[in-house]
Amino acid sequence: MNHAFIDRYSRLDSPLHKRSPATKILGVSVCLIALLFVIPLLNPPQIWAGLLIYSAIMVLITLSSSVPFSFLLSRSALVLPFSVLIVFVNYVSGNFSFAQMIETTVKSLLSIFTLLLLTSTTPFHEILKQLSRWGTPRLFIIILSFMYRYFFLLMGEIEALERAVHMRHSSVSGWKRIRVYTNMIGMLLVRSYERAEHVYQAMQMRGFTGDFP
Amino acid sequence: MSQLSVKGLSYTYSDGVPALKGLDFQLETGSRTALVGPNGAGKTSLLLAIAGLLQTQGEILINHAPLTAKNADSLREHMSFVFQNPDEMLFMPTVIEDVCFGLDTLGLDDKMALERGQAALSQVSLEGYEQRSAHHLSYGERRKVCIATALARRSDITLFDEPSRELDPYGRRNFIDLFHKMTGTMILATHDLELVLETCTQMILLDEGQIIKMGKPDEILGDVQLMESHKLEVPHSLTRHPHSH
Amino acid sequence: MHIPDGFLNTPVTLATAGVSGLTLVYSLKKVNQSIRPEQIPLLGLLASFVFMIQLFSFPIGIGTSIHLTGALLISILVGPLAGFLIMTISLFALALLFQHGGMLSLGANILNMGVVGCFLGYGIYRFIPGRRASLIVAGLLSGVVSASFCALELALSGMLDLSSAFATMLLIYGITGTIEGVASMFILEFLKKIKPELLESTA
Repeated sequence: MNHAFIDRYSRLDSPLHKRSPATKILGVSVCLIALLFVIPLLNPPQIWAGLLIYSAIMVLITLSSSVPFSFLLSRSALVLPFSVLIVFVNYVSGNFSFAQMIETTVKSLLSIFTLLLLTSTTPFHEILKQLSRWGTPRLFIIILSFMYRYFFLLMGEIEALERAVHMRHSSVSGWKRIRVYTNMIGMLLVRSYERAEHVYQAMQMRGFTGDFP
Repeated sequence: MSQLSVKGLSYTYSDGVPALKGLDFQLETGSRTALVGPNGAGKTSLLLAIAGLLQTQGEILINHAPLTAKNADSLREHMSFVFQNPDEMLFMPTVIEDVCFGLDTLGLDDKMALERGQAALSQVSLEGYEQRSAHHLSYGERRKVCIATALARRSDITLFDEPSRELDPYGRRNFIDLFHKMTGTMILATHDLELVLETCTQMILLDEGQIIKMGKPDEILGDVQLMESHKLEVPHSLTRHPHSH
Repeated sequence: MHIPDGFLNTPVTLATAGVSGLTLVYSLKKVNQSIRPEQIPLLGLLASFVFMIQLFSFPIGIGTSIHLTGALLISILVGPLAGFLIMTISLFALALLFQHGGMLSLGANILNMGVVGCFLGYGIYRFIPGRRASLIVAGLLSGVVSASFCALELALSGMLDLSSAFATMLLIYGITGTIEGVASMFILEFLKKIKPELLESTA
């Protein structure tokens, strides 16, 4: 897994990257509400017009962001297995028309595309700072920022453990395999506890007594 | 004047294994002391105890004030600790936030804290790294940021746990240069015996939670019998002509 | 299952967001009152851990892989309220950073996995005596209830013909829920061997 992909393009320099996080978060919220709540209220021909206009706006915004289309599209496509499954079940059982099937798939793709425009033009900690300015409870923000900080380390650790397991245990399956993987997860949990203890000591050394800046 | 005085210090791990068994020693202001000993000798425990992070028996005096659970927070204002693993020290979103973390508890306002933080970063030659995130830095750079967090505090006592571990030769040399420029009392726990010879004026040889010997680094480290009986070896620079006449 | 955006209608979105939002406000308030300073980094690291295990699928043979939600395990370790907070935060981050589940459907996903997994799962675990049995039953039942909620939300949004898909979903979720219970059991047994002091407060 590529560790950098979470915020891979968030540090580029483009007109969209320069916009304040507040504008971008609000913009994305408005877009998502329009896409998922307002467009479905329209009549069928208007829905198609709506989706077309929405897509055009997304294309224009993407052009001003210097984030590659290929990245946004390939990340958006990750939702397809789920969408196709649900949409297909509905189509086969006669619950959906062909048009509804396409409409639903397009909507789910566009909503992910929209969200990606936010995360690939705004560093995660900038989003957190803005949410904090808007009054999101501090505990929520602190846990999120610790989570983001240590996720990369944990991912590296699980990859190393996985490689070690592959070297010795490549052929086991079924219950034994679950045992091996749960031991791995247990090991990561133990390390998380120990790391939390050390992080707390490091915080104490710098005067932390419970209040977070 | 002794800055740190330890009397009858003992510590037992939560599983009942003793880590420190009745240590006594004193360190003068401005002294540079190495803690040396095999794995499990109690080096890290001793550093944590001095920092007031463990529940110990015995007495620790910092600037003549006894360290207790109650005043540990205020005594830590005079201390810094550079931990072994930089990932456990650097938990804020950006480098500058990490370096400035906790400076407010030293009575600095935001502007003064920022100035201190920037000065510390330039001391470790990481100017321009303020807005970077720790997890995007190289290991050597992260270690330098950790040292900057200590520098920014301008403490009387700085504790280092394995400061040269996992550093490449250049990073290690860099640390030694920085260390010589730092002021105050320094205590470092390390397996890097050459580092001890280059940086410290005295050392404490620890084994199984006890002080075996305290004295000048070249005298202790040059004692072949003593070293080998504690699973250590004489550093190369002291054995330049071991079999010549 | 993390429901993406585009599958729930407005009333279902708002209703699930309301339920999850209120639960979040309540949990935050309670956890804020009881939290000790050393738990602050711990909750962050555990959130990271939950985030990671939800992304980490492991093969169970016959060409299938599954992932755990972690809700049951984390609630046993830190209690259901802090556990729910951790689940909510990792589901939010999964939606924002990995597009794993939608942003507007977040309320529904928190309800299905967080509320059900942490409160119902943990409740069953505490209610039934015997660690092994209670974990498996808690896993199975929270899997089934979670699937029912998910199916109901989709059906109310006109996305699912309840009669055709419900049985299949229950079956699949019953199985993955049971695996969640068994895996939580193995993990807890592992912890008991390696670091028993972690389980002292829960035993």
